[in-house]
Amino acid sequence: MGLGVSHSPAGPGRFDTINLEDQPPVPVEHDLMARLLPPLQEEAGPVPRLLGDVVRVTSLRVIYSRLSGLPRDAVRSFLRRYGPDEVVERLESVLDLRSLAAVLSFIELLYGSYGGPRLSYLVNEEMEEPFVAVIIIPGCDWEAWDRIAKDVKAEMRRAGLGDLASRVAIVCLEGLRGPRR
Amino acid sequence: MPGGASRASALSPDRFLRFVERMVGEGKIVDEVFARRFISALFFALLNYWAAKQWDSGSRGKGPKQDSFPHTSFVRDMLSRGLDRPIIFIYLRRVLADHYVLNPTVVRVWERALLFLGERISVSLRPRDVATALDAARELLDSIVA
Repeated sequence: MGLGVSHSPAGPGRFDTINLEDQPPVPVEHDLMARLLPPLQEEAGPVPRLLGDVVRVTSLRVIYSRLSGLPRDAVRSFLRRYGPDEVVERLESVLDLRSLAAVLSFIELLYGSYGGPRLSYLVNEEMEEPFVAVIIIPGCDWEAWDRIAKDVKAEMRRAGLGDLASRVAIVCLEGLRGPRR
Repeated sequence: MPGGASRASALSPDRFLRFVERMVGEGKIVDEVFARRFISALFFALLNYWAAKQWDSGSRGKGPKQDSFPHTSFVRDMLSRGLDRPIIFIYLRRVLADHYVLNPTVVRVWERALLFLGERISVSLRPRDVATALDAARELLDSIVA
């Protein structure tokens, strides 16, 4: 296990791929899947897919398949790494927690260099009830925000988690200020 | 107002967005009141149009005539299209514009859930944010029209 995941110093535009010609493999420091999740019998770890000279790190579908076998308490425990109990409990009525955990893992694997993602929610201002989970990425700015959100939502659809896309907002904390004008 | 014809045609915000663009271009967003009113109007113009498109496509909402569609459904639909950046930018500032006096301030729609981060995350609204909100509104509108 322990796929070497490195983030390109060339800029955020290349965070979703690894260019084997430009970069030596770097040991991953926070391989969540290795540390937390039980491996599937048919595979020992995330399997990279060759796409010409680049390698996809992993897919949301693979992460979700790992998490889908976990007991509910283990999923809750996993989510408490990203947000407090109250947030996890209230989100249970909004969306499937296993899907949410898979998306958080996926974002941390691909965009962890922006800082560890945190979990929150938006409330309906009239009813004060959560209606959308919020995944906050601390260090990314206005420009990165658009690309990350669109890439992650596209990955959700590819993984068969399209329904989840409407119940999760991806927010870049630095990007909340707007563009640099 | 006619009820049978296309509601989306009647509520298309395209001309309103061009009006806002002209006001921004001519430097007419002179203070915070203008910024607040324009950003709030942009959000609700889009919400109205999105709801009208829902109506025209046969969806029905709440109310005696089933023509009331909640803003939460609008936000969710935009998120499902990957438009997280434009909808969150406009939504948070719309809440500030209509419900809060201080600027910057911490808006309640997520404040309590974010306290664990160790800092209150404030949202500000400046006249120049109207230009950003206008760009965001155009991106949302393009998707709603498509």
